[in-house]
Amino acid sequence: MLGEAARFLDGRPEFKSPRALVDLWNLFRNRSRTFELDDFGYDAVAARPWIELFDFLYTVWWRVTLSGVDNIPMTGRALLVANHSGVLPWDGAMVKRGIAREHAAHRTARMLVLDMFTTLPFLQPWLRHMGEVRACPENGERLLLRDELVGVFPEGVKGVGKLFRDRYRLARFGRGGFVRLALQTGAPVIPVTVVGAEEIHPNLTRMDFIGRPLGLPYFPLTPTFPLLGPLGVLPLPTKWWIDIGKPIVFGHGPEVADRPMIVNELADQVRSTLQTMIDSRLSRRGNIFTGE
Amino acid sequence: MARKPGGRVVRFPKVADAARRPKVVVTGGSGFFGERLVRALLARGDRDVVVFDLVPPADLPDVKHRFLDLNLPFADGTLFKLLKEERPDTIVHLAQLRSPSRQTTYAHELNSIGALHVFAAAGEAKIPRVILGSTSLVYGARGDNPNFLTENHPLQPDPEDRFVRDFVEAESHARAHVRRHPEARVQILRFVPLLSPEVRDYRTRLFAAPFSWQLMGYDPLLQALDPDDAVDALVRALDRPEAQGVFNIAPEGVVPLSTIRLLFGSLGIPVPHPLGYALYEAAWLAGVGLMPGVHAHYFRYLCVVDDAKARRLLGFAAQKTTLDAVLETARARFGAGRLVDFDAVADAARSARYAFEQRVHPRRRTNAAAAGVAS
Repeated sequence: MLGEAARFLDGRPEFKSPRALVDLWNLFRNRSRTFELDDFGYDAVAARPWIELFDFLYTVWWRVTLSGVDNIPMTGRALLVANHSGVLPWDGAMVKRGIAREHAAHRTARMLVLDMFTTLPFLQPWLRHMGEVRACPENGERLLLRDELVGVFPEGVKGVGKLFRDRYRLARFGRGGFVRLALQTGAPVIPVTVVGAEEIHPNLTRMDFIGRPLGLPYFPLTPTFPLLGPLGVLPLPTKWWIDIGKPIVFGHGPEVADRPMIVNELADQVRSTLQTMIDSRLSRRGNIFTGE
Repeated sequence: MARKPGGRVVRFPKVADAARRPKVVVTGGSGFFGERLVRALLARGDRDVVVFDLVPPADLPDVKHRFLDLNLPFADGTLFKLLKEERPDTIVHLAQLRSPSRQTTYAHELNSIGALHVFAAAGEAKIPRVILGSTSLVYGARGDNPNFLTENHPLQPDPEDRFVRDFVEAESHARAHVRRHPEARVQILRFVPLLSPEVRDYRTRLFAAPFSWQLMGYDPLLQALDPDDAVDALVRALDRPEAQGVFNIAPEGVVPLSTIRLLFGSLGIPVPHPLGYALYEAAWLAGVGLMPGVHAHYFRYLCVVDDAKARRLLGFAAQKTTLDAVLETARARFGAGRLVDFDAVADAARSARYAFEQRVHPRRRTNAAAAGVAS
């Protein structure tokens, strides 16, 4: 876009409109944007430079080992259900990047993001560019009906803000909203576990009395944050495993979505599947940083 | 015959005998929106049209006009007499302010109490159908909104936002009318804010301003509806009395505020949002602002609506996408001597429209099937 502006200026040195001056700035601000957004505002051009950062984190910083990527279908809807950890939601970014890198169809998973991130300034437009949407049943249903690959973290804020001593113990799986979503849309549930992300920000204790007035749901105290200030936000370079399990098909019709007890039972079934996968990976893991 | 959601069978009141042409009263028929509807109805020529407004429509000398001031305290009585004389089948209520007004009492009297008068008189005069023009802003712009709001989503605008609250009240008068007169047919059309080169509401004035402040770090997705598409939705609603209830009237596609600024050539001066609200409010109180501070929510959070129900039941499909409307307006008003390559944007808009059509096509097919059943 900026190149086109330069070519335009070459031919016409005179500014015919004062708005042309504003254009210079606006075109610079929008230099890596596209006009072809999807309904949720996903901007493939704006997302591109960030992929390089994610690739660095994926291959060098956390040396992610991905297994079972073939369990994700080549086309059609599916619901990824993953454990959540690590204070900042890097796990979602890595799951998404891993699938885009290693899946045969390079599918783009759409992660459903907690409200607390989607309403923050700067993060709101950034998450939109990346293709993430706010976590709510309406958005999930709309994406699945469009045959997209949707990722959810049913633990929500209880998972991402959990303490170091509770690591790898799955919190309650919300109110089973993801089960209802899968039943209503007929999407298979694919369990995904992330091991290694619990140690990137060891959350020793929560100082919520600081976070609450700032509008944050929690305020972590880690060995590096807030002691080292902005440096404390750097995650530790642990070794990560992302395991993608076999699709779970519930064998119930959409009518079961209105029966909370069965929904809760199915949610617990998924939860125990995830816990088993995590425990089996943990038992084979050696050093946190090298994995040896 | 049509079945109401409660399962009760209702009948059309026998008001029009076969010899009589259907008659439509358009309140606010001399306004920007109303006049376009009147012109479209005259072009079709299958209905008699009467305009109830303060002044006759400027460019339509042949249309029958009756003086009506909805701001007078007993406007419902006057309106009742007029309706008894005219005996229309349908009232289309479009006599509303579509921008926030500093004269809050006047705006409230017209947008909320005006609708109350219309429904009161329509009930007494036994007018079988009323169509209320509302706005998609009634849902409120909130951080916890889903990306697409459907008609059954609760209406939660900021209670301080009087402009939007008046539309919510007008809708509650419509619901009260249905409760009192179960045989009455009421359609509420929630229009996305209009945008075309001729529209001069507070939104287009904000976009067209050479510079204005914006809430730092927020870039919400917005929708803009071409007025011709809005008129088309109203005509389709008129043609389908069996489709009752609330309908979102929206175009395909969304455009972020930053892109609208880019195309209009408007400089956004970022200020932290608490300060931004205060500045909007201060400018509003000083008499130079376009909207009260609380209304800035709509330039911070999402308030985007889903038009699937209107597609299904009204057969409505907007001809222009949001990007089309924004591009056309920007080009017509500020297209000269600009650095933005409007042709490149037009190409992008075309391919975006193609993508929408590909995706929407299966839905169009079900529309045709539904229309076949209805006829």
